[in-house]
Amino acid sequence: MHYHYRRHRFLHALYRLIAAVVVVYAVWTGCGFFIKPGFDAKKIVEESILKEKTFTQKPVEITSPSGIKAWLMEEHSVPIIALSFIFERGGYAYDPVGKAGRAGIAANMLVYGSGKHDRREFQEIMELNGVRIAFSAGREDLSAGMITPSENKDIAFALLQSALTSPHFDRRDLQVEKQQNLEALKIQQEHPASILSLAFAEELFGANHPYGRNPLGSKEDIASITSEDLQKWLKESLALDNLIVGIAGDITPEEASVALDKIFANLPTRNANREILAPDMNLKPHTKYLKQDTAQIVSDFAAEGTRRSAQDFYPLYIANHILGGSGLTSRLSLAAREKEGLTYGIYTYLSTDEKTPLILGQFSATPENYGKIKQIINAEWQSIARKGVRKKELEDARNYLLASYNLRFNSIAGLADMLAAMQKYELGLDFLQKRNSYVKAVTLEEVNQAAAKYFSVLPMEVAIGDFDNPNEE
Amino acid sequence: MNKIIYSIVFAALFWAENTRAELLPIESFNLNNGLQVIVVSNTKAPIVKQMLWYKTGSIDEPVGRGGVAHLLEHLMFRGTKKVPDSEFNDIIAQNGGDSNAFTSTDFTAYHEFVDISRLEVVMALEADRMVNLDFDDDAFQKERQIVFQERKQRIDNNPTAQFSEIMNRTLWQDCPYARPVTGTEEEILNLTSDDVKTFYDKHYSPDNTVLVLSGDIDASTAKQLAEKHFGGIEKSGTKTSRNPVCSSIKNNKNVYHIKMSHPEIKTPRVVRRYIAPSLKENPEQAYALMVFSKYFGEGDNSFLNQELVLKNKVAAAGSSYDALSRGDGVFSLSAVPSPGKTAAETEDLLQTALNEALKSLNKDKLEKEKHKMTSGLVYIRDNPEDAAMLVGQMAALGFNLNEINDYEKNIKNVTLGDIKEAVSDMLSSSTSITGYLLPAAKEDK
Repeated sequence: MHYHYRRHRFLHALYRLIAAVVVVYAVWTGCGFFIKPGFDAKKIVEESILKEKTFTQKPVEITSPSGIKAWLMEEHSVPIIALSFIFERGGYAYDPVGKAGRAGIAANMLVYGSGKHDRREFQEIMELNGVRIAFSAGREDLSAGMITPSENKDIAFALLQSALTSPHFDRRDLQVEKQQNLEALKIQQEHPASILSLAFAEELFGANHPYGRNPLGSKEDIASITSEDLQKWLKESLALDNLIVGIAGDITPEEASVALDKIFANLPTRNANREILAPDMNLKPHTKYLKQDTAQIVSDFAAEGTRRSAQDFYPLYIANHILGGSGLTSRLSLAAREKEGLTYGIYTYLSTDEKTPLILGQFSATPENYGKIKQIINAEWQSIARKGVRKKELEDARNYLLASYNLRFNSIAGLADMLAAMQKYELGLDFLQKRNSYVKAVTLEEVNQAAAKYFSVLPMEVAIGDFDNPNEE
Repeated sequence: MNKIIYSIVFAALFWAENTRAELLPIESFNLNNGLQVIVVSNTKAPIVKQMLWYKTGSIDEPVGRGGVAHLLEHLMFRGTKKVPDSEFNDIIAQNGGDSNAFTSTDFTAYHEFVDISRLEVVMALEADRMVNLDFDDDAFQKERQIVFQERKQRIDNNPTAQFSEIMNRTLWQDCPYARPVTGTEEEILNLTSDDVKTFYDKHYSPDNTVLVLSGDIDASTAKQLAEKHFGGIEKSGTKTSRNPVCSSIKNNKNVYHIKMSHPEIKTPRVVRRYIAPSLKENPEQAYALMVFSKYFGEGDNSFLNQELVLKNKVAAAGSSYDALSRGDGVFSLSAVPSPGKTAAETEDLLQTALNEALKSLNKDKLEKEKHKMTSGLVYIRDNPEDAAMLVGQMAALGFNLNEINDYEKNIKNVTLGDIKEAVSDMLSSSTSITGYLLPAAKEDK
């Protein structure tokens, strides 16, 4: 630039320039020196008549007379009791070879009659008393939930006890269940996203690892499952040594500990399922294309992540939140959706299980947008690895995590689930009191170290859709 | 972010599961500008759900401008003069909120779930975008592309969703309920920024809107804050949201039958829909149909499950009844045939089951059914988000909130005669459609 102005003219010009910049800035952002702030959220919060409060209930550990432990959060504002419990290693990955799908069928059939009640009676008693009991076979664990109006708790506990210890697994009901799973196998093949999720698990975990199998099993697997298989599953999988229980709602510690014995005391002491080994994950950056005539290409992708118990869990959690976390404010969503309009949604999230620490992601888009979105993912992946995150981004993420803390206390069933998860991940009974201090303690250096470590390798991907020439991608 | 286009079927399920007489503390009042404010107090945790329900949806769109209500819903996140561009999302995130919106045929709702200390922030944000929407052309172009991608993802990549659209088109003919909430692909791509602004100016006004605050707040505080943030907004003066009149469709008593083959479909489906009275048109028949649907096809002990599924006559079957509508209600049946059975045989089984179910219902069974429908009502008091959803939807459809408090009484009042009459009327003189969704011809042997 030219510096031959006389000093006062130079200063004059400089002042004008500064003023212009300030005005432009003020107009641009709506909050400069000369224009009053357009929307000052901070001020609204400070001046609000609604002040911050803390959710005061704290969980306690209770032990039943026979020694069964559970975490309990009393909450008497609504006359409802919820139980959430997990049998570790009761999930579908533990189905024997040739009998895949067993755990899913067994889980459904636990409420199809037990003890002195046939299926019809069991269901009738639940419905007439507003009791809901549901079991679900996840990959690793069998998880279950029960909710009841507190006035009907004795009926609910008795039903649950009977479901866990003496289910009928009636042959005719099993036949119907198997038939429905065969139909479900067909329906799985109707939607690109569900075809993809099966192929993705197989590519990532390997066809020979239980995690890579279809949770429903194959036609042959389903056909081979017998009532005896289900009884065997019950004896081997549901025991006291792999049980985790969370209880919440309108119940006292004394009542809860009596209930624990009533429901669970008749279970075997030990389960027989041997821990399966972690899969050898295929995280080498590559894409597997499934060619199919669909309206959009759907993509699932994954990279190495961290465990819930690891030191760098919070730093990576925050880095991922900034890169692809839920909502529309993540870097990926801003770049691919808000700025370019290429997709309805793109997001990434962490799987923090001990055996599969992963960063997982998904998007779908019409074929002409697919390549552009891939470029955006690669660029953002490399950028966060090399340059880390900005201070403001960390601050925003922290504010989000701190201010959203109380939202977890919205429902009684949610509280019970949370207590079970806190035990499964060994977060400690005082986790709720400490959680915000964990979030506050995360430094920019830690986030950037985690970002550099985990995002330096591009994700592996499986994509389904109408590719012109996938091999040239 | 899932901007859910709620299917109207959802309403019936929600209704059947969650209401309870005298259990939910509901207070409702109007501001001078016509905004209805509903407060549901729940002091369990220091959190609150704010929902703003505009009483307008896709049925209010001009012909040929399908998808404008939904595109507007998206553009509501694209800025005002005070809160430009995507700052809305940033502010929500910095304040720890979860925010989203959805468009249905009958209404459009925006919602934020926040810590109670942040409620005033989201109230100020919603009040601002009720009147000050100001997106630029670039944002408009991008958002139109996004809703185009959304349609591709939800409908075009999903053969059962395509089938459902075609069923609605045929059943509703010229009535606005025939048109998809997303608009068609061509409609979306031809929408202009003026279309959106016209729709916004016409329908978004405080006197066409319901504000719900559900959570750790009492009515007097809510009133003070509603006045502070929304009280200054003037009503636009346009009386909007006329309910659709579909009487010619309803009265023609046509019985449609369609078949759709799709290469991705691997197992057949049979679906039937009857145009039935809504809760608004005929409350007595509506409550009777709710009880009948529960008895006939909802749950493990329903007639359909016991008589068809558990006896291996069909692979799966169920029914549902949606009474919550600004127009007519819809009673639906659906089934997946057993292997070896054709769609036509399955339809016959459904038809026979309907007649038999009606005959089999006696006083004892009816009392049991009514008991089941009211046994779990207490749950609606638990989660403030569920309560907000229920009261907001009821109010947005123009129902008196007493319907919620009187639900138990109204269900208990249903007699055997009411059910026989309502179901017979529906079977003998409703417009209906039965559709078969089939695998592509070569696989359909």
